[in-house]
Amino acid sequence: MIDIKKYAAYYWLGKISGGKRAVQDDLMSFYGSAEEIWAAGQRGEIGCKTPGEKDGLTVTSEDIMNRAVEIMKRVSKDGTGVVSRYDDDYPSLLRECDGSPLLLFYDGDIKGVNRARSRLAVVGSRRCTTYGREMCGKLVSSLEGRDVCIVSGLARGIDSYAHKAALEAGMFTAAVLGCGTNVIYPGENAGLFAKIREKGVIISEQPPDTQPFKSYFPARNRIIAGCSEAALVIEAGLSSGALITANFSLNFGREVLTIPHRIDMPEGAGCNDLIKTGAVMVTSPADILEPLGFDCENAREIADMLPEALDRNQREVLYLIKTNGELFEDEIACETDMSSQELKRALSALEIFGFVKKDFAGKYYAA
Amino acid sequence: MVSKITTFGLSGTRAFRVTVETDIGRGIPYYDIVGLGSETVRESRKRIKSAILNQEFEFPPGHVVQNLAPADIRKTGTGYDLPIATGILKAKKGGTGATENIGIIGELSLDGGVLPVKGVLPSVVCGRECGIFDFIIPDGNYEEALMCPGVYIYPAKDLKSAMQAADLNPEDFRKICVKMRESLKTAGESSGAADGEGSEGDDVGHYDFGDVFGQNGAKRALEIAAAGKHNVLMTGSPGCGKTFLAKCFAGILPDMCFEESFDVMQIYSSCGMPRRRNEIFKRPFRVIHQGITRSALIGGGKPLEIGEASLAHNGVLFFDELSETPKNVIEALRQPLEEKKVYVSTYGTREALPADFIFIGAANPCPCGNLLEKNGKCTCSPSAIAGYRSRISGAILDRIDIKIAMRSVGSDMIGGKREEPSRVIRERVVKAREIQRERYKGERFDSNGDIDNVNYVRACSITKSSKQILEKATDAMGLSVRSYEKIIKVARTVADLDGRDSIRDDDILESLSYRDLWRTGGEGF
Repeated sequence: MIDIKKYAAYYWLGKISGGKRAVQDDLMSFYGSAEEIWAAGQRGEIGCKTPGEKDGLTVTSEDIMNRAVEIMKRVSKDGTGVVSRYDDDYPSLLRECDGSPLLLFYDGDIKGVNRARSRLAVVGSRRCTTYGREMCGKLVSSLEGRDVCIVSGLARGIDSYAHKAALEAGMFTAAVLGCGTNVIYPGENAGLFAKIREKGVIISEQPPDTQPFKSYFPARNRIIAGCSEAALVIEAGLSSGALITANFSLNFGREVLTIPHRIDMPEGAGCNDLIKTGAVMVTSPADILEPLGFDCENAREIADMLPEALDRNQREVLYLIKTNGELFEDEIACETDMSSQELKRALSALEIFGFVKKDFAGKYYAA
Repeated sequence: MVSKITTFGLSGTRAFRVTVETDIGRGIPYYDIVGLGSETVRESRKRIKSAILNQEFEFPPGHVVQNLAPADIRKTGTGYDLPIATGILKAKKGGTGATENIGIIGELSLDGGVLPVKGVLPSVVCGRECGIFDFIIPDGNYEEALMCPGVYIYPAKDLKSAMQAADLNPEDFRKICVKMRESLKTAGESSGAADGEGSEGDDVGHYDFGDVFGQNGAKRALEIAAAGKHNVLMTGSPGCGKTFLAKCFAGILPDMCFEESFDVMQIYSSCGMPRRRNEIFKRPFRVIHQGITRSALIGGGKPLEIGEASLAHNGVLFFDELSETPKNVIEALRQPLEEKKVYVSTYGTREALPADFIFIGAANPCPCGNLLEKNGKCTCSPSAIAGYRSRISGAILDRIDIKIAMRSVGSDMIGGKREEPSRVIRERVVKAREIQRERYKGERFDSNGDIDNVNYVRACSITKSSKQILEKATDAMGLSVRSYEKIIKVARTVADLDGRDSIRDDDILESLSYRDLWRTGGEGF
């Protein structure tokens, strides 16, 4: 249940301030809350900018408020949520950005976005190549166990693969939509949509039932960029929407990462251009970790992020392998108090569950 | 006047009965031996003549012909000397029927002394099967012959004493044999204490796991191998202790039971290298190197030589530098690894020799040997490594249950606290073997490593969750169906070492870590 009055007032404030953040901040610091501002507007203390005439009808400040109350009732009834920029649960990185929306509608666990240690936007073309698809899966799943939230747009192509890989790796993922949080677009993603709602969060600045509209998508891209420490562009042609996200990231002072593509493939030309203009070129999982603020040398930090499903021995072994890169069984044995059979069991289990791999020489490395 | 003496010929590790017939006729002095004897047998005429004369007997001046029956089987070796000489003397005297009931075997020196020969024990065993219980054998082969129960053995020092014994009536002969045996026993007991200690010292004591620092993974693998009779392939850098560990392996094996040691003794007796009394029950440990030839490995040739595979019967065959060995030699191991026997052809017959051993192979991981060392010490190209590894074929690898990788121990490990001594490990191994022997009672095998299909289903059932682990492993590790069975077998042994009835998930997990490392598979990304 949400505070209908409060969020309706926020919605009203967003509209009458023309979406200008400076105006909203000034009013909020003067009156203290959105409801007070609404009351002040009723008293005529502040001038309310309305869209004016629409379809031959004059939209008044009250009309906006009525619509706002309707929306919030709907949200409340659906059991979904809404959060304002002045709330703690609002994605804190997004709050810092110019032009961040006053209200975010969501379905799922919005707190997960702030709770994650880092957030990585993963974006790319809707029509992606096999290479793009595979690299997307590999790079995202390489972050497994590291408490990274994968932010993307639930569009066809790279976006979907990024969400899928994140879910498979048991990572938190946030999907930012260009339509209402109850509108599944594109339709084929219904299954993925349901899973994200359950295990991650679906976010939109549009109120429920809003149908997708062309101009909503670039705006959506700004939220994706704003939420994340870094944006990883997997694949982008020269006019791809992913480049818009990359641009937002640059403007917000965030890191832009991308992977190199063949120069004769137009599908990856945008990525290569990004590299040319100074984006971080990703050729291994480690290249992603650093911009996300992981100190790869700091072993403890990695150990803390190991999956909880593993038992103590397995965690200890995985920690050693992750911190050292490649290890032989005897090297691990030197570092632990385990008996050799305990160690062998742990290694086999880790290998089966796909955390480590063994090469033909008997060397173990993190998968 | 024809005399008949019973003796034995040797073919592989088994003896066959031979009758030495001697006919002394009138005529110009003439002496020959017929019956498909090889050059050694034909030469014996000279030795026999000298020996008879030097023992102050008289060589019959007449037409002497001797036949070795059956005359269509090739006979080699020098063990016919004594029976031939006895035959001549008997024939000269006019022969008594009883001599055919005494098995006689031995080589003669020119002065008439009896020298030890190969294959005395198999001969005694063969004789017992033919209903002969009295034997005259060389003094030097007395100990091995005594291993055979239910027979009377007279150890002859020279031709004269052999003749005296052969002339006795059966009751007196047996009385003397029993007396001699008892006097040997008391002599053995009085010197036994010192003897026993000595044996402990130079067998198990020399190589002890307690002296190996680190390498716990390898030690554990060898413990499992010993407990379940699994074959092992050790891959490791030069100098990392593969050979030393393998030698320690002998010290954790349980002793042989009487039947086993009896079989082993027969093999060793056939090669003319009887085992010492204090090591009769110790399992043989044969070390071979890359220079070995195919026939030295599995046996063969004319006359038939016993190969290392058979000498390692009931024990261990340690193949050092396996990957440096020519492929055809390694491939020759297929048969003994699969059937626990080797088949060799000699003089138109096909012999099956026992060869049931634990195989331990040691190999370098790559041509330069440093693949497993860090800091890029290895200078081999991937194709060179693949070529090197292809020398050990899949057929051989399939028959090796446990594969381990070993690296040099860091200098910080050396001189640490003393490790678990072999004695303690051996106790666990013995217990695990007992469990298996109990389980496989009445079968023709007694260990998990040799388990057959029927018992595999009975003994190696696994829980549902273990099955899931294996299914997952099949995907994650790319296991073949064949390796599936191997993994469960090893897991069975791990459970037996713990004294558990059922195989747990942990056992499967540990067992999985011993799987194939040798083949260079393609690993991406």
